[in-house]
Amino acid sequence: MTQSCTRPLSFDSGVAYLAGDLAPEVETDLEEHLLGCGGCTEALARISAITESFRSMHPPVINASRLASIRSRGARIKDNPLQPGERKPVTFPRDVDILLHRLGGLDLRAADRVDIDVCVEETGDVLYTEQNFAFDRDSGEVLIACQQHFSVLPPNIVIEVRVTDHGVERSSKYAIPHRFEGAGAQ
Amino acid sequence: MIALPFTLLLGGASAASSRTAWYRRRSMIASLPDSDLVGRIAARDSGAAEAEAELCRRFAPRIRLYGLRHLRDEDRARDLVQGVLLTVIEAARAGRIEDPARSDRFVLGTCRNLCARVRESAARLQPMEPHAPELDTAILEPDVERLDVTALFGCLMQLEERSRHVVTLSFRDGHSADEIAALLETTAGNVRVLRHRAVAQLRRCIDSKQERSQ
Repeated sequence: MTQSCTRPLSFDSGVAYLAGDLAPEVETDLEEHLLGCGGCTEALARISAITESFRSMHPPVINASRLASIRSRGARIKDNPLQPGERKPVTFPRDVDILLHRLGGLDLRAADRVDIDVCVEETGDVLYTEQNFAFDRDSGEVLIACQQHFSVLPPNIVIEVRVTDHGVERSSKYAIPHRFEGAGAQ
Repeated sequence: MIALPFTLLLGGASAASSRTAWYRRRSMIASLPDSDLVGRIAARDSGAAEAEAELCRRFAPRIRLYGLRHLRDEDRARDLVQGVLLTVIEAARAGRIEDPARSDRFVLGTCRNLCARVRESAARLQPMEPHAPELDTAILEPDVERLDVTALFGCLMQLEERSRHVVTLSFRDGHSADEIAALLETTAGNVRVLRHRAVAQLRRCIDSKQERSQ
């Protein structure tokens, strides 16, 4: 039954609720209201459509354990191994969830930290930076989880990996022009 | 969503009249308070099936949101919807809902119990128990707005970098406001403000894209 609501849900309370960020007594009170209020449920559903969509995204930089977890959930993954200095055009197939750029040829055994910059090849503009992330020391590679929704980014990108080892920084670049098979439908 | 009876999908004047009657009846059922629906279900008369369908339609989205908050997984939230609704319908049929006017409290209590059971077992619910009442599974599925993730990502890239970080760390990676505050060297209060502003911006951006595509 549709009834007018006497205490409409505020946007910030809805976001805080979905983030699990309300005090327990406030959360309990809100849930008692929500279970009885169709209007506030609709308002919260509009917020949750945004917040829940983030759960289907993965971080661009992943390590082996995260990769195993993604695989275990049935994601369709295609490997794309690259070496430093290589320029390798790729096509992201429509039926693949993650194109896994394996940025190889790196000696990470004694690395103190690893950072990356993702840049536009033509302009050098930095699209994304990840600093001091968790890496697999013995793997000799950094894993980039390229995803279908990255099709909104400029197609020609360069990923620069900077490895700091005893205070000395070494840089490796990988140029990857992208074409997304499904991008026309977006 | 409630399935339209097959006979009403056929054409012709009498079918049109039946459709009108069906929609009128559906509208009448939808206007009933929870207590009336529970009463009809308990009476097990000819209107019981429609009352069950309406009760499910009404509560399914509410239970799903509770599930998303506490189980943080769409599949588990949908399992929760099914488990809770089957329990509630079974209780209503057996006349075990003591205060039908507060059916929402009964539903909430069932949500809490089933969520606690899921967390204890760290497993997905098994919704179809041997004693579960027979129900059309279509009425147990809440309608959900599905966003185009690529469109959302396009909107995300329009945000300022700090807002982008806050919203992805919150909802993609599941970090608390305190954890994000430590990572970004700011206060939890500032994270909360950035977070809800960012989500509001994303909602407006998505709405505007959807309007343009219509």
